[in-house]
Amino acid sequence: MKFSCPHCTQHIEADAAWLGHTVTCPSCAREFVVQGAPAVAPAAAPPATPAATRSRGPTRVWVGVGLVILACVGAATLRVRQGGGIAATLAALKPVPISELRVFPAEVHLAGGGARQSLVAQALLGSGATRDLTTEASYTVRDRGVASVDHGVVTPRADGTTEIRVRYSGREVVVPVTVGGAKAQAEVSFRLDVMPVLMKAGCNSGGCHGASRGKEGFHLSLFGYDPDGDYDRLTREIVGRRVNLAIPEESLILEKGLGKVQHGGGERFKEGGDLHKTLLRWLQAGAPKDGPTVAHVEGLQILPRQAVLEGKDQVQRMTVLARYSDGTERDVTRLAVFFSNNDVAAKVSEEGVVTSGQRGDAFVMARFETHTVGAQVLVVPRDPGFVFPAVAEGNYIDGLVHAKLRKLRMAPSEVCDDATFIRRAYLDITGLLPTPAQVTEFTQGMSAGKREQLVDELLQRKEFADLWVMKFAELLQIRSVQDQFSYKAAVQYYDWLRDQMLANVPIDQVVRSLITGTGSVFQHPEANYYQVQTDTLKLAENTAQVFMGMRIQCAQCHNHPFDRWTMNDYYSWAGFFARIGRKPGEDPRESIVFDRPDGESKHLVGGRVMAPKFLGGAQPEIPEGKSRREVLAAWITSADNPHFARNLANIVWAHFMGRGIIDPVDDVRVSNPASNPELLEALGARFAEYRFDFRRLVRDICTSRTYQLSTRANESNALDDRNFSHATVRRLRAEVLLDVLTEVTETRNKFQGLPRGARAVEIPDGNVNNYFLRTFGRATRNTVCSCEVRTEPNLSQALHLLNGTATHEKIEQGGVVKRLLKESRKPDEIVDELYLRCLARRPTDEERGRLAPFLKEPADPAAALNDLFWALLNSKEFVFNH
Amino acid sequence: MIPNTQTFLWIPALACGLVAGLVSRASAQSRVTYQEQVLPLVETHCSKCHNPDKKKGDLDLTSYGGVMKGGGSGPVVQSGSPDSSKLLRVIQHLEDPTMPPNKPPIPEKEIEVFRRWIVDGLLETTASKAVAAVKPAVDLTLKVSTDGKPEGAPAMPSGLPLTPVLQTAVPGAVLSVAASPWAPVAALTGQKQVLLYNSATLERVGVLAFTNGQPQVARFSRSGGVLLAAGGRGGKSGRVALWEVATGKPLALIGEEYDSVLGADVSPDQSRVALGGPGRLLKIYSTSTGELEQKIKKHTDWVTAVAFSPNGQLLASADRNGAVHVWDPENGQEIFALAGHPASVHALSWRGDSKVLASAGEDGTVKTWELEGGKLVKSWVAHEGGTLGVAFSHEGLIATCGRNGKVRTWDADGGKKKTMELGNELPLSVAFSHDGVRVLAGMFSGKVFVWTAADGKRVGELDSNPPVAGGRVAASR
Repeated sequence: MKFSCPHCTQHIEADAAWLGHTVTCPSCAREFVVQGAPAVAPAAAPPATPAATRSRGPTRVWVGVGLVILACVGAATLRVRQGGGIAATLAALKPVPISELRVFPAEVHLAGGGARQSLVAQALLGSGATRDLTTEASYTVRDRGVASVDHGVVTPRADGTTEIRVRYSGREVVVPVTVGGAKAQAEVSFRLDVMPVLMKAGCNSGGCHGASRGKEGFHLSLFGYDPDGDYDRLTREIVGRRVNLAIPEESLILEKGLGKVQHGGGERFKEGGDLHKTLLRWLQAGAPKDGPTVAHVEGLQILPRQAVLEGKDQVQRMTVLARYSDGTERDVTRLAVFFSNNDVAAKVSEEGVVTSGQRGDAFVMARFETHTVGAQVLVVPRDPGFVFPAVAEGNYIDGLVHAKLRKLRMAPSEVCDDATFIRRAYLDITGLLPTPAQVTEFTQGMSAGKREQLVDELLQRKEFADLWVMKFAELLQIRSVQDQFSYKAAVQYYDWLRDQMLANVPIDQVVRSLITGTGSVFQHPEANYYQVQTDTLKLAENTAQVFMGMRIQCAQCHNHPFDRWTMNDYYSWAGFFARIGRKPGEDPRESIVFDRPDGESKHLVGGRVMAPKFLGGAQPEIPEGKSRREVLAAWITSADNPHFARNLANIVWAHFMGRGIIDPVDDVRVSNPASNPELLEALGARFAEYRFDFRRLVRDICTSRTYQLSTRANESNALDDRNFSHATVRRLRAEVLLDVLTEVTETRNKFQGLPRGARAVEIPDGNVNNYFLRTFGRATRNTVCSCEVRTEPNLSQALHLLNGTATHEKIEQGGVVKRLLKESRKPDEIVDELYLRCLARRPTDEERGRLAPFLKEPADPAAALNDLFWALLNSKEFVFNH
Repeated sequence: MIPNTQTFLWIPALACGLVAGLVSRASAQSRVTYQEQVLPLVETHCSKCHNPDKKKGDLDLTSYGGVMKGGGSGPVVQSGSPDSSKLLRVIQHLEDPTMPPNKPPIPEKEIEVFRRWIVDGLLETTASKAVAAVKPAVDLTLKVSTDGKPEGAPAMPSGLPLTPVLQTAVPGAVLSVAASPWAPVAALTGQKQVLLYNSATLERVGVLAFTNGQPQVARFSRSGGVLLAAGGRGGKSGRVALWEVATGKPLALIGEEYDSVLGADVSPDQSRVALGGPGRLLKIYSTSTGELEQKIKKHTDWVTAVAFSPNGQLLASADRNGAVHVWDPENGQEIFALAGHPASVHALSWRGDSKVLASAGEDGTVKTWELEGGKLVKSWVAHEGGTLGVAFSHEGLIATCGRNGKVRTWDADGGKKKTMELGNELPLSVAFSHDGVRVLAGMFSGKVFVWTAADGKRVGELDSNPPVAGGRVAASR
């Protein structure tokens, strides 16, 4: 067959047997996988027809024979045609040099005659990349009577144990195999066999029969959250229509699924395929219902967990294993539903074969029953010349960030200059701008550790606590609501929180106080946690979202489609909040929160009582009379719950980096993985280690090299937006923007309930009517969602800065320029002063040059300088943190 | 020595006992009244919302007049009929909106007070007279009707083929069981065939091949001379087939549906066939020409049951949304819309005098309707989980079967008569034999049982999947 080298386009002819193998190009010596359909005509001339006595048979047969002969010979030579000349024979297949061979799964257990296990062989190359060698490795079974292997799929023959040797390029992996019950054909179970078919074929998906009303009156529970109900609906709801146990192949569920009769969903499975056969077998067995002790899936694994593919159109097969409660394991690759969170970087087929696309990282997931698991697939450019630059590492954070960047073959940007750093640090840590004197002192300072020193100083400022009180006030929804939550209560709630933060009370203690808040909300403002939200289910959802970063809302009505949470998880979590009582106090605005002795959470389907169970954790023994909330508070903040520390650490990270390691920060789920799981884990562990002391974690982040990166990208990281290879440009949030505008113009604001001169970040009530803050996206605190704070641009913002009170009026009111002129400062000096004030730097020569004409003996210097001031305030460099 | 309190506890205990005894004796004799027993309960559980100021649902329960007036959706109590009283049904959590809302039901003892009050005639005070139960304005006494009885001997199958078309390894569900109104012959749907049995001797008297998919419905014409079977292939096709009962001769193939027919009937004069199915249309065909006479587009979900009245003047149809409509088969005009079932209606049955129609629904109830004014006569829960079949006898008895695995007979007022002996089965369809002596029902498992109606004892079984002796055997394995 004919093909050409994809690197140097050299034409090559070879036998069809080379298809799919990795070879070295004889011309450019680079490796590639032989692709393309073999040409019909063989390279060699067909053998001559036999003696004339025979009638002229079809030449095609002989041509075919010739091909087969050639293929069987399988000569290890490649012929290269150059120009018109005849080939030179070249070296045999040169196997790819690998540093490690891995085979997944590490052990094979086959239970039952119909069991199968697909193996995946993956090589780790010296460059750190991986390659799928499943079809190229050789497999030898020691005892053929026990099991056999074909194209990487192991099938059982007889009970016993054996091993499979997988070899490639001098490396070998031994996979032990155990076979049991080979003679038995396992009974078809509704839950274990039929339900997965309904999911794989898409029957119970949200767009089809899984919709809340089903389709055409046939409703299946979405992704199978109600197998018993599905069984009844299939077999008993309209008897005689959906299944026919007397003539099973005429059952409508098969006829429609095969597309033999009109079906809105079209053909969902092929006749004779696995899915069809499973359903038919179940119907032929009389559509039995499972007994009460049917095993359920306890865990799911997708292997390999990671792949690093070089270049486009590289392939990586996956195998998926389910672990059952009766101890068995099963290969469910053909039943799992696959999807990728980044199709541009890596696509995954229905059979679980990943194909690489553009450079990036993707998370390939498999869903089976109620479990979803994922594997990380990194796609890197094929660049043997990439060398990670030698950069200093500030601390452990940099080590972990760089580890990821190395894998992606991205170089981090260079560090930002001092002027950028001081402005950034001031804004991020205190929400203020540095004064010109501070800027000058810092940029001219020569000490090596001055950045760390600056960070330490800023962390001691009161404004640092103010900023975090504001952020927590958003999470706790501190705002007054007409007739529901009084202003007095909101202010008391805010003040309590502020006192906690100023006293540096560890955050886990604060959370415990909130969750166990009891008594009058006036005397115990932390109890407002239960006044802000009075609905049991919403309380449960908010607690999970705020403290653990998880959105379990979907699981209220059906199993979460993209995450591990089932309705059982949801309602048993809500059980912790089912006994909260409230009664009015003397003051109509006062409410008293207490624990009721009764109250239960009931499952939506069937109404059964759900005992409280930790989200993703154990079911605690709660002795009679003990407050469920106490048990909950202890667990949330304990080491048993890793999500708490990680979530808070992630929130802190997102504040300083502009994007969480999991983004959005309150959407932690299996299908939204951390861009750097090791980093997140490390930050969470440190935070817990620091006894939840904010300052220490913030110090780690701000003294890392990663925080100090410039926003200028380089060629390798230009497209990166999630791996912290360079800093991001971020618009200041509403309160901070207003505060810095006020600060540089030396004016003072008056907000409701606060003394004149208070800053916008100190406003306790989310429900405050302020045009500027509203326009620039201040959180209304009506929900706990991290998306409440908006920094997207809009026309109102631009117009307000241009024409509104925030700039022009403040400049007039503050009279900064007037004062400076009165102090006999020269216009040039004032220009410098304004630049330092607003942008933390002096004007460049070019800028000075442009300004010169306006400042050369102006008629009204104040007007010109105020105009400059206004222009600075309107500049992007001012409004953005860069 | 100061006596401790325990010494004298027996005095108040004795006194309480005496008083309690007196009180209980008194209450056992007296009837439940609104002022004495019901109002206190209302004030505890209901008056927060159902008071004159708030009047949720426009219902004020804090006064007798308010209760009798009812609310936004009509009267909430019906004297003497607890099952038809919305108030009782919502506090029992049998109907939405359940009361009290978002809370568990009030204690059983208190629900019982409400029920007794309704049964006792909705007394206001001990001095009141019971409110007369609302009787339908129509005279519903049954005169056993001979509408449609043929002159001469009613048709009995004779000389029909007895060999089944096929026998499957496992019997399929028997979806429909029907009995001739005048002769001891019963029909049941099998796999691709309709089997006829003598309901007295339980012998097979005929097998008719159904060549258009699977039969879903089997019915006899009012005269008993014509057998109808309707069905089809789900998602593909549907037809109605008619045979002459006496000879087994195929008479007609009606309809050209694109999905299975789920409900069908032939008019008493045998001139028309009405059918309906997933297409949501009710179609009326002429049997002589096979042409479509009426195509009625009213039902909003699959048409599940169709039945002509015995006098041929009315045609009833029901659907999966619970709507029941009554039409004039001559011109397709709607006569009544009988609203009441909140969920699918599975079966319809006319009383012999065409004055009463019974409908059986997934909500578990059987509802009887009178056809003068199109009003509900009675509604009762016949089978929890869903009533799947209903049939009238000539004498006005009603037989039902349902998802709770029971087959029962009732009188016209919903008074339970007999429960048939049945093991662990799901009965799908039920019929009385022509003389009302026997009850037949077909099961999900493929069995068909026959009982004596009077005592509920089983007298035999009909085979829905008999062996093909020497003929073609279609195995399903």
